[in-house]
Amino acid sequence: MAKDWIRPMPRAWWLTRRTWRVFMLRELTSAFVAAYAAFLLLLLLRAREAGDPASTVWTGFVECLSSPWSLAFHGAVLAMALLHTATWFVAAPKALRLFRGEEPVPERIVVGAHFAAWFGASLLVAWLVLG
Amino acid sequence: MESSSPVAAAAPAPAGAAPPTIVLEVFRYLPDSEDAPRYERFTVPYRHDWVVLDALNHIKDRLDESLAFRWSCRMGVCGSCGMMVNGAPVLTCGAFLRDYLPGPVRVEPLTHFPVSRDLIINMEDFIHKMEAARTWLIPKEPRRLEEGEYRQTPAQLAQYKQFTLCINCMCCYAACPVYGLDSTFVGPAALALGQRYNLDSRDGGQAERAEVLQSDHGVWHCTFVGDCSRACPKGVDPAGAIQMGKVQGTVEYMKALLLPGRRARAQG
Ligand code: FES
Repeated sequence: MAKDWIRPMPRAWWLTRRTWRVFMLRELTSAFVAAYAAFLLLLLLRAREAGDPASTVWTGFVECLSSPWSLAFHGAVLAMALLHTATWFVAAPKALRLFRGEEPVPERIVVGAHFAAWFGASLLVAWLVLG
Repeated sequence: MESSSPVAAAAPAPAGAAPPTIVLEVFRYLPDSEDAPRYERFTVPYRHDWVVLDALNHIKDRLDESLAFRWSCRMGVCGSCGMMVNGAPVLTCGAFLRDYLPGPVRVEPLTHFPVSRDLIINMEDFIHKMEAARTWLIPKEPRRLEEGEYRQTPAQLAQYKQFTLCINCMCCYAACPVYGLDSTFVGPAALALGQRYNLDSRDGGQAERAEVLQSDHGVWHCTFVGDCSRACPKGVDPAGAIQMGKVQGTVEYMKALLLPGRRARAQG
């Protein structure tokens, strides 16, 4: 019996197709979202000392936040979080196939509903924080 | 290692005009006489209405009868002519040469599969996957012939109809990097067809299929690249079927966790 020829994938396989590069970027956004979750935990930890007038931990932390590094970090996280949200919302109809009788609900309606809910939730948060 | 074409190379065509010929770079692997694959260039006549499969048939009829490839229907139904054309998995009977001008057009066997000879892949693994996913109807209630047919409303049919359109061409496996990296993954078509029967109101095989579909090699191995759905020539959307499988698996898991009666049944 003749031998089959096996073609292994190259190590940098994900660079070889555009859709795979986009996929890897989407996956990478999760790392930024996770990093920001860690940052929020740190913020909570520091905020515990905010009420203590003898402690400089909180004021020092707030000062750190206005450093260029912190601003760059927040800018990068914002961009990645927006990309993360948009790509997953666009993918949502794959997992959520709805029917009205025999007719499938168009994908753009499912996607649109996600963006509308996001916008609504953002307004609510803005109202709570700023209002 | 490239052998020269039996026909003289085509002159570059002037912009806008159709060239008289087009070059195909064809993957050749002859395991009986050669140790490794190579690419062979063939110059074939260019016709506006020719697809890549027509060019391959021209090569086989006129230039080199030893070239091996699969095809049957020439109309996008049998699913046997799937190959890589310029790196993308397509049905060669639906891939027009005019979309690859000015050439050369690189034709290779479907990637991620072992190659048996030239453009022919070994599809044994795929057949096993289809069996493992139990891609057939397992009736919910057995019926005798005199009891008549299993009935279904158009709305029930609509739930799974899209997934019945699969022609087993395996283009989705060639598009899937997860399968390429780890062939223990059940893969797009077999998972989509398993889901097709899971969604069928006449079917009662969900629990049986879950052993494979909900395993580590099943839907949970998928990282949702989505290229299977982009590559599918029939619009089946395997990626969608797999994500639905993940949702259903999660719902079943939560039910088993929260409803004690169900847990006993699931474990039993
Ligand atoms: S030859 Fe049948 S699908 Fe292409």
